[in-house]
Amino acid sequence: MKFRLILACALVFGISGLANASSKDIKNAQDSFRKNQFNSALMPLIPVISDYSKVDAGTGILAGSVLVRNAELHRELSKLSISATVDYLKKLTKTKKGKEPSVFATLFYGEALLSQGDYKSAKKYFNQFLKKKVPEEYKEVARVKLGVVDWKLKQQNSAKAAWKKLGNSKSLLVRSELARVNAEFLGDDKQAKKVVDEIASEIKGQNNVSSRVLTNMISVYNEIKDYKSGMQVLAQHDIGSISYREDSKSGKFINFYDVNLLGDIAELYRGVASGLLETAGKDNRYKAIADLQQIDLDIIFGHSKNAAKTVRSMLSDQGLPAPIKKQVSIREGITAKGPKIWEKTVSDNSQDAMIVSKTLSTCVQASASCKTTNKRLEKIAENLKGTNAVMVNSSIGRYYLAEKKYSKAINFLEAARNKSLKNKIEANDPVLLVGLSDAYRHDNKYSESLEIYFEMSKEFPGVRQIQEAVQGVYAMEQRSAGDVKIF
Amino acid sequence: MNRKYLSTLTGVAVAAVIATSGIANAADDNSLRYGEFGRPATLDPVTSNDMISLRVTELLFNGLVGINEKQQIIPELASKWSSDSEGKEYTFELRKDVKWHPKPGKEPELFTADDVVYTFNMMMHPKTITPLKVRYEFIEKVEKVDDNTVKFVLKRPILNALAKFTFKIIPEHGPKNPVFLTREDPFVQSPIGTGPYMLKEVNSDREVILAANPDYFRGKPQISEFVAKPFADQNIMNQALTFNAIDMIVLVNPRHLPELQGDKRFVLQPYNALSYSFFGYNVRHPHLQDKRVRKALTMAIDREKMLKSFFNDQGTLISGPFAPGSWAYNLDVKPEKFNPDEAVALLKEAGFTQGAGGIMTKNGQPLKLTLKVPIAKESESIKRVVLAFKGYLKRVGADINVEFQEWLAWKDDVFQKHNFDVVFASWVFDDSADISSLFHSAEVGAWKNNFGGYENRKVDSLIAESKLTLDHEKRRSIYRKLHAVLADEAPYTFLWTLTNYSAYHKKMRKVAIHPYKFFSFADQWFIAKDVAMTDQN
Repeated sequence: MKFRLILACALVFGISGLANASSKDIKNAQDSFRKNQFNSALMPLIPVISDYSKVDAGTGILAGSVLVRNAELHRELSKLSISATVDYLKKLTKTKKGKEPSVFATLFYGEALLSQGDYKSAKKYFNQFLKKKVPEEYKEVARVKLGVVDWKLKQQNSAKAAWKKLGNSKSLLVRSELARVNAEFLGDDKQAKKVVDEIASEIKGQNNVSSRVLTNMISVYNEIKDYKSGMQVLAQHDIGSISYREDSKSGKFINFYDVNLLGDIAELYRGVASGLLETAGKDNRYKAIADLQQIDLDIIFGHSKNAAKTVRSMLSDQGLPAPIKKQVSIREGITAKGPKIWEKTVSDNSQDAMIVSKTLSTCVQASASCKTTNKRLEKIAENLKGTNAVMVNSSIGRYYLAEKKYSKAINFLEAARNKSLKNKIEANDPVLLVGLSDAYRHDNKYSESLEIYFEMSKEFPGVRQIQEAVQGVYAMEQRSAGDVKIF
Repeated sequence: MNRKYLSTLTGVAVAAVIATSGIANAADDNSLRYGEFGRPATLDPVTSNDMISLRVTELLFNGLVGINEKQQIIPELASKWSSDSEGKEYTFELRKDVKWHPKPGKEPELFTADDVVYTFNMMMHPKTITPLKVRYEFIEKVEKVDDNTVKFVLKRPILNALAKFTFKIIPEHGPKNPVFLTREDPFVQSPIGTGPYMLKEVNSDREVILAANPDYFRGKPQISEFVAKPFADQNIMNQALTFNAIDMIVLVNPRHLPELQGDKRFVLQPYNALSYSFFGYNVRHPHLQDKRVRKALTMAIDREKMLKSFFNDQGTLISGPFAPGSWAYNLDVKPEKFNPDEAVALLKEAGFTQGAGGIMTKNGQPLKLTLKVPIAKESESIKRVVLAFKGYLKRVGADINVEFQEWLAWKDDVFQKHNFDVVFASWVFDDSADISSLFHSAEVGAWKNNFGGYENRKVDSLIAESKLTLDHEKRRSIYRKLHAVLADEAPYTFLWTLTNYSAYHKKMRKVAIHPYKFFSFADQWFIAKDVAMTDQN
């Protein structure tokens, strides 16, 4: 809470003096950000922030904050999407009697397994896909993916040979896939950029570009740190678009999406946010705020060493204002292995629910051991009300979510939820809603999950892929008699 | 009258109600009193078609199988089951230790296969008044194998067949008429079942009092009594909860959510996500037969503004016959935009011209319609919705006459006599998303759910196709098509899904709420003895 106050002051200060975005854009961005509409907040800033080295500190801090939240949210969405997609496609690939098999499910399931790091299973499904009667360009996509599996399994020569064979492909899909592997594995940034820049020109002004192409382009731009071009892809195309629609003669159709998309977007946001914060931090008035944001960003993305380095550096700064120092100390646990420092922070601040709450949520984000911290907070939670209770319950809920104790997570996250506007992001932190939806999904309460995604997808089009996957699982899992009653 | 005075007066009124009824003091510490906005029409699982009745029947009766919180099929009256390899025959072995609730002055009778055969045959009898028939048309017959075994033969294999056998079994010795069941049979008001609770009485305040069944086959439930208390006013119901006159509200009025959320004595739990409100049209009316007219009425009203203004945006606009939380919702179909000019153009295209007083007229018949609204569901928000509906339609030349009716009279007019032009109502679904009883032409008739008389061959064939397929993804594709067709056909103006929460006192423990049937797991609930009743914050 205190940190948000500090941040808010900095933002107001920033736009009053230095902003180089138009005041209307800044105001729109601030209004949207206040309503948790992170995507709407970002859009008016894109033209200004794309070249973040030239952004003034005030705009940099505002845009950086918007992007940190966007990055955090999309990282959570990405994890959820991979998990939901694997659940869905696992069921879809198991053909039962009376069921028309899906041809493309094997390709997309293989990709989802690859994202999860299950390379051997992924290989199995790519090979199954190659035996099917499908357009050649999709076979080529599967071959690129098989190369990725080989690379991951340390068979790099085999991977390179597979990719080389496909080098002359004219297919947009295959070219984008090859550009991705060029940048990600072969380090041929120049060639990768050349290809995706060409693709960007080819698809300019086109609607319904396959999300496979879009995510590959974003991934390449991330790898080569050309975030400006990456942001252009987002600004110019519908990221909720499908990757492939399988339409059978019997009237059945299945939409497939790219499971990497949300993660690639999260990484793009992280990259831009980091650059913006670095630029803003060059102005001494914003340095502390920018560094603090950078610590959070590093923790969210698992860059613990970077986070720890910044924490140590800030704590050794004698001139650091006390409120900021307090905020940094909350994150001090990241500097050591094990739970000791997290627990000490809690012990030193046991009367301050907000500090304990933030310590727990940071501890959870850092994937540390947070059992004792959580215990302490649960005791505090018993006597809290109002806004404090929302933050505390949210932290505890996310702890149980990380522990995969879904019913408990639901209890606490529900306690933190605004009941009147239960699915509205304007009234609830979107990350809380994502956590709650995930807990409900695991607890087989799919309709509660889907309601959340339905509202979220209005602001975040990439959520569409999660909606479709959860709908698919729900359609197979539901067991009921077909009842309907008048209210 | 100022608000503070009104609030005090309401408080006094509630206190007076509590004092005179004696419930607060006399109630057993181990009884659960829950508030319902309205009262059940019937208490049996066959003739009832509203949610209040459904909740009571969930406590009174059992099915052959049940569904647990993890969506798994679990044994209830059947202890085991098997099916043939084709999925066309299902054989159930029945529990031998199940007793029917005793009739007054008599010993309880044993549940047997005869009761199962009786229930199915009675349910499907042409003279039985029930919305259940369409759901079980896939069953060809049921046979008694022996006293504790029954076999169902299906006409064809279907998806999730086992889940269909959750229908409640009623006793052969229960209804007065041994062949079919109507709302006139005394059984529908004084039912006996096998469930965890038995009907004790319906008292002069129309409270339904249920007592724990000591012979319940899963063991006597922990809570000794369930009392369903009907309220005609949601404010008073909410006051009753905060004054400890009741322990639970099944459905909290959204305007009371902030107050209850801030009160640490209560737990708020969402459920019933699969519900939505609508204006339904009677297509027997000559003007409403034309889909252009129905679409014009839909386009003439600003649903987004209504949701924001009257419900503080506490819900989600929908575009078709499924709720956004359903697996069947077609995400590509967007709600029709508010466009009164287009609405007028559509009416003109349908042959209407502006007549006297600005009312649209066709073939000498003005576009005058009667909107019927059940008074049991009357609230300030609903009143505003229907008055806004009237106002919006006046602007495009349709004259709406709003009639509020008592709940049972409304049901009679809508479901039996079909004496209405437009209705305002809400449907609640279990998660099957089965809309066949709402829109299939075979479901037009007395006490059937297609009360508007809507008929469309394409819709019929899609519904039929969805029932024939054994492929989940194909069924999903069909439902998405159904969604698109019905959004275009507009037999209803589909409105919104509202935020639905139940509220209960934290003294109640192990409370798991079924998202649709509500009380499915209530035999496991219990009441803690040491919880303060007055600690608000």
